[in-house]
Amino acid sequence: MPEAELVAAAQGGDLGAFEQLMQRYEPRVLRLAMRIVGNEADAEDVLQEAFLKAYAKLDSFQRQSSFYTWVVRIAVNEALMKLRRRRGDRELPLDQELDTGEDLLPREVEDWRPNPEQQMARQELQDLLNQNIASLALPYRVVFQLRDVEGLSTEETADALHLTVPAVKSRLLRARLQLRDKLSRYFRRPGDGSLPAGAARPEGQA
Amino acid sequence: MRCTQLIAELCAYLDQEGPQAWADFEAHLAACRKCRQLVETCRQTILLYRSEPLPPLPAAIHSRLMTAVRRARPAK
Ligand SMILES: [Zn+2]
Repeated sequence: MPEAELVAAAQGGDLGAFEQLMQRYEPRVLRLAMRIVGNEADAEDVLQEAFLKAYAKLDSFQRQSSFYTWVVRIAVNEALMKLRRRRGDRELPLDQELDTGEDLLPREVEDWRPNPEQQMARQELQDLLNQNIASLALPYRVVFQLRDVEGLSTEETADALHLTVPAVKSRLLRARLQLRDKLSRYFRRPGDGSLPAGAARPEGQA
Repeated sequence: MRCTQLIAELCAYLDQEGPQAWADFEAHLAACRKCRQLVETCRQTILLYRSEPLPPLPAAIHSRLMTAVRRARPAK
């Protein structure tokens, strides 16, 4: 059934239609929650709170907009609240001022081997992608997740996070550069000669 | 164009956003190996994350969720 019909039926009280909508988006919402809160138990809580809230607020959903984007906004909000409530949470606030004086030009850039996704087993690659995004500070990993993984537009991301469009753009740039840097350690072509002799390598590299 | 200017426009270029003309950007790319490598590996980074397979939701999680939703259903 097309999504618009499912939404209309769910708004008319059809629980089965709402269940179908849930099933469509549960895996993505769970992954999103996991990326923000960082552990499965909290991510499952967020998933549940998000769909309960979506169900409670279903009447206020405007049918011309995207149901998925609407659910993502609710889920992001729940996940961020979860983080805030967590004791001892040391995440950077989303609207943290960025140090704009910092030089974004990576010191070391190298070609990658072709087809990086074929360089390791699927699960190994998945673990690597998870670990690397988890190691980003909150403002970067949330923006990257919404823009590049969930496919929200810059404006939708700004809206969901209560950030300005320029703030989303600068966080996205930094997130992409940091992830590229981290992945480069695994995928760079061996013996790439682009590094000037004697140049210092960043920490943690062999 | 300098490398730092190219980086400032990197996302707009990768996402092909905005009304910009890319002649200067691409002229710099053609001349600068480091920026070429940067653009290409950034593109690959995004692609790796975009093509992550989505694991299916365990049935137990879905049924817990449905139980909670049913409980929240307003009494008619
Ligand atoms: Zn350059």
